[in-house]
Formats: sequence, C-alpha cells, structure tokens
Amino acid sequence: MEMHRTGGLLLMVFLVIMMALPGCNKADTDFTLDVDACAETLRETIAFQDTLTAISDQMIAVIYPIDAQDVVKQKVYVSSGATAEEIAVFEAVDVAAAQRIETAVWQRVADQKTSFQDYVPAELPKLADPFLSVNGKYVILCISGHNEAVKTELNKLFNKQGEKLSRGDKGQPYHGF
Amino acid sequence: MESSSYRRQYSSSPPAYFRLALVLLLLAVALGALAAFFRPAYTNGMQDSNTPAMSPGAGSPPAEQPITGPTASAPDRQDEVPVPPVAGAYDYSRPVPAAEVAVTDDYFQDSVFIGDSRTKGFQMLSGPRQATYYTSTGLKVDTILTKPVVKAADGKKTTIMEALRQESFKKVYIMLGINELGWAYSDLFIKKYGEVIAEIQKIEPEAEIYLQSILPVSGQKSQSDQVFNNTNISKYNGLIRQMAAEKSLYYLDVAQCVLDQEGNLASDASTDGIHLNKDYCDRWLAYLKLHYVAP
Repeated sequence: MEMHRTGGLLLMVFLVIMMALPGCNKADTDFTLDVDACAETLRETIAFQDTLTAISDQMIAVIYPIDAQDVVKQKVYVSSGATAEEIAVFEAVDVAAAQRIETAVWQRVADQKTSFQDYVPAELPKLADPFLSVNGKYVILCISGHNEAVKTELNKLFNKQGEKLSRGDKGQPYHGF
Repeated sequence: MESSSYRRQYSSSPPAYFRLALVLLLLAVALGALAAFFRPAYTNGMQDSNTPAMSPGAGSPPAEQPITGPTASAPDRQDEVPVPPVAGAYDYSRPVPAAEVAVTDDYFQDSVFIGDSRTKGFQMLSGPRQATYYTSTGLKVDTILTKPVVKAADGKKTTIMEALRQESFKKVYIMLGINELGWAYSDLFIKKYGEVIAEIQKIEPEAEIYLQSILPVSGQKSQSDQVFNNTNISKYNGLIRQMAAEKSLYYLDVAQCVLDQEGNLASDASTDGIHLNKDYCDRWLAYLKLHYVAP
C-alpha cells in the first residue's frame, strides 16, 4: 500500500514536470525580438574602435554560410577592415535552424581568426572571446572586446521589450547569456 | 606739309623692324597654342596624371571613327586639357580618363575584383552585387599565387588563380601593393606583380585588365609609419603605372577620388588611416563607374 502511494506520488511529480517542460520551451521560443533594433542598439552603445556599417543580405550570405531558408530576419554590421569588430543578429525559422546558424556564426569567427592572425594580431583577443548567444530562435554575435557591456545592453533591451511583449516571463531579466 | 607727310608714311609699306615684330608676334602666338596642346600631365606629390589617355598630337578623328581606347575624354580636373582620341592608339602610360556618362552596376556583371582587405571592404560596403570578388585580408603579389583564399561551392578553399580558371571574366580589376610596402626591394614587388598579371593573362587572354593605383593612407598614418606612408605608396604606384604602360594594361588612378588637398587619404575616410568607410567606398565605386574603356 505504502509502495503504491510512493509510486503514485512519483508519477504525479513526473507528470507535473512533463507538463511544465513544454511551458519552459514556450517561454524560450515564443518571444519576439526586433532584430534591427537589437543590432542597432549594440552598434550605438558599445565602444567599437571602428565605424561599423550594415551590409546587404547578399553580402551576409557571402560571409556567413547560412541556408537562406533557415532565416526569417537578419542584420549584420561589419568593420571597414581595420578591426575584426562585428555585430550579427539572426532570427531563425525555428530552434533547430538557430542551431545551424550558430554553427555558421562560429565558422565566421574561425574565418576571421585566420584572416587576422598574420594581419592584425591585436584583434585576436576579440575573436578568441566573442559574445555569442543563442536563445530560442535568436542568435546574437557581437565581436567587440566588451562582452560585459554587451550583456548589460541586451539585458536592458530584453527587459524593455518584456514590458511591451506578452512574454511568459514578462519583465524578467533575459537569460541565456 | 604735316598732313602730306603723315599720309605718305601711312600709305607706304611698314618698316623692316615693324615687319620683324609682327612675325615674332605671330610666332609667339603659334608657339603658345602648341604648348597648350602638348601641355605635360599635371603632377603634384601623390597625384598622378589623370589626363585623357590618348596619344597627343595626332589630330582629331571624326566622332564616328572607332577607337580602341576610352570613348570619352572629360577631364577630372579643371587644369587639364582634353586630348582628342586617336584611332587605334591607346596611350597606356596614362590613367584611364573619365567618361562623360557613368556605367551602371550591370557593367560589372562580367568583372572580377581581386585585392586585399581594402578591396574586401569595398566589396562588403559598396561593391556592385553583380561582380565577383576574390579578396583576402593581407593578400600580396606572392601569396595570391599560392594561398587558398576563395571558397568553392563544396566549402573547400582554393587559390585565386585556380578560381579564375573555373570562371570566365571580361574585366579584371586588381589592387595590390599596400601589404608589400615593407619589402626591401620594390623591384621584386613589381616583378612578382608582373608574374601575377602574366598568369591572369594566360587564364583570361581576352579580358581587360585594370590595375588600380594603391590608395593613399591618411596624413597622420603617413607621417607616423615607416612603411605605410604615402611616399612609399607613390613610389609603388609609379612602378604599377609603368608596368601598365609596358604590358598594355589599363591604369586606374583611383587614389584621386579619396585624396585630400595635401595628397593624403582624407581624414574622415577611415578610422585607422588605411581602410575606407562606406562613404569613401562609394566614391571609389563612382570613380570606377566613370573610368572605363568599353561600356
């Protein structure tokens, strides 16, 4: 009898967890981020050495090996070539696509390491520790050498957007960095 | 008597000294006109001549006469005198002159741009999307032959020469040299550059090859750097221009479109004094659209 009660309790706990998990996933993926605003905020607030400039979708496809069908929206700012600084924000069609985009972003970082290692080695520390966040359908890369400032700005942005958007964790700090 | 004397002097033929003065005056006028016609190209420090590239002094052909060189000869500077085009005689020793009408982006659909980080920046910020770009940060006239930098469809990297063999282009735009400024021997630079050109000509024998001048660096950079300075750049540009003349290649004096009044890269063009921002990449593109051989 005691065993049945314990088993029943465990079953209930299991069911509660199973019911809660999709909710967690929903909280992670069912929010929207203004891709342009996010990239622009980083460009304006982070102390980049170089002037970063937005590039076309066609150019993004050249430097990021991403399947166009994986992307809903994207915004990329690049350096003139003086530095390795860069901002890239992607909205993927789903979480699986975001993971594929993440792989492409790491490839871009690796390519830049190869480019700069003999050219401007002073840029390598930025590339060795890029800010890269994957949260739900969103992938955010910021190569600046100021990762703490990037986190702070993104937290501000997500808190602000949390008030506007109907997120499950409305008003809560953004997680996933 | 006075009246009669005056009439006599007036009606008789002028004295010998007067005739001599008249002849000398006419001679001076004729010499002046000739001097203006054959006026040497304007040069000032970093600024290379950009007068129209036709051979001077051969007369002006009819407008409909076909020419092999540039089809227009609008000068870039006010102090330049347009030289009329001459059939079949393209002067490769001079930069490609400005045309009257700019081409559109479509003009570059059969073009390939080859270069280092500056061309890479141009590609990303302003380059016509129709063109092909084989660029690599730190590219030099020696590594261009050996370094795999072009990503093939399968993701593997290949050399620029190998990539050229896979496609066909009618126009090849090259800018190399900034990364070689530190070489001990400038003649080695131009020798290697010549080998690159020879290889490209072997692969693309029909292509128009445009050698672009090395863009200057900012005044601040030039004054503070033993290697990356405008004296060295000017020297290398002289070698490139000479090679263009010897090998019958088109020399594009693109440096002209980014200079300030002192002959340096404009201070608002770059954060590091070398790489151009979008505004100046746009100027670069505008220059290319206005300086071409056959539209």
